[in-house]
Amino acid sequence: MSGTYLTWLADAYRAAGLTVVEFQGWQTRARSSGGFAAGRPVCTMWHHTASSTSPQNDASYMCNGSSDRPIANVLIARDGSVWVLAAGATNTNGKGNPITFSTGSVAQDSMNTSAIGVEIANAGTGEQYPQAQVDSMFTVNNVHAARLGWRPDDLAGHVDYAPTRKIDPAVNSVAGPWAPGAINSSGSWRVADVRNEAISRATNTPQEVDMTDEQAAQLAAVFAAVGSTQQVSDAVWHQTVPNYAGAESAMWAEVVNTRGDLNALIQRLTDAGVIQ
Amino acid sequence: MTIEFGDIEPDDVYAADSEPDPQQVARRLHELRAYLDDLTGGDRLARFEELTPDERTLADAVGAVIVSWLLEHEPDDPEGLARALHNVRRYWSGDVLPAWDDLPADQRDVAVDVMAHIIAWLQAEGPL
Repeated sequence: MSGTYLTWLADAYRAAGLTVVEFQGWQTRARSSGGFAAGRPVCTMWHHTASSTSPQNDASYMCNGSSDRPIANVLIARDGSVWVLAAGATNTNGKGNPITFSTGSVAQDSMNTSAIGVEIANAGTGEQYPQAQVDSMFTVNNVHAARLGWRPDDLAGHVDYAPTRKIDPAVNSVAGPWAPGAINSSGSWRVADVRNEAISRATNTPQEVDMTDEQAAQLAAVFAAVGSTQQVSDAVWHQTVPNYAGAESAMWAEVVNTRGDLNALIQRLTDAGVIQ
Repeated sequence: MTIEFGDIEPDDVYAADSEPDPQQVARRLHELRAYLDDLTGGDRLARFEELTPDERTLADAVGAVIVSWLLEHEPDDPEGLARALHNVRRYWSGDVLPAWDDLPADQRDVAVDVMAHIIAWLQAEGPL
């Protein structure tokens, strides 16, 4: 099994308070290229399903019924429940323009190996998105950001990546206090509005950090040695918790609940003796 | 009115920077086998993720053989791929399986068609 499979998705979503349905076989399911390469994925990409059937039907089609299976990593149902479909790369983004996110760029026609594909159950022709569904969409995005060391606005709609052939997500009829503007007559969501809302809902936005210059230098060295914030947490956990495997879920519950709070991470690094 | 899933088209499937993964090739081949089994009224094969460890090891090894061959040859010869895979499986069986040329023609045709499907799938998604 080559590449990285995001087998933490279901636990991380549950830890964030979401209702999760695990579709059989999701942990090993991927497109023909398998898992994600090192440094991938770099963003979440939103789609609408262009359907009005049950989540079971959508999920079955995306994982088993379509010749292009698996069509997405995640399906968010109208009731806000999150269906986890595949842990590897999937087929839902396809051809599009180069685009840059905080942890890397995506080359032309390469998004399927660079994004966590999220399908949102909606007909796309005027059906309103329920608030529970919208809340889950942002929570899912922010779980990805916290876990993978992204910014909350490392997020785009399919229309933003492939504007000449896609309109999703659309239309901009959303229940609740937030609603995006539209960029065209199809009602495609304005990405700036989406990203601003993702930032406002996240508690892992860039923040002032209270540390000495010496601590900053030590922390920078740790990041340089092991990579992302997430990998730092992994490294610390490996050093301090003997039964790491059993503790993994609890650790991620804590990370997700604190939304990657950098001060908390620094405190943990200090407690673990990684920095003084 | 119920509308079935509509958010997929050929251009959504492609990735320019991908390479074939042996395990996913094994999964796809297993799904094709399961379909053929259903079509002919056989006992339903287990799902890929429900295979026994030995069955899974064998399936993954077949996937690895296919990918290895495709990386070393032009992907326009499904008959060559089918022959190569059969020869490996014959070796694994201790020559219990008949030689490729001794197989009934219709069995060879099925094997070639299945390999053609695998090649077409990988080409459509970008790994080849």
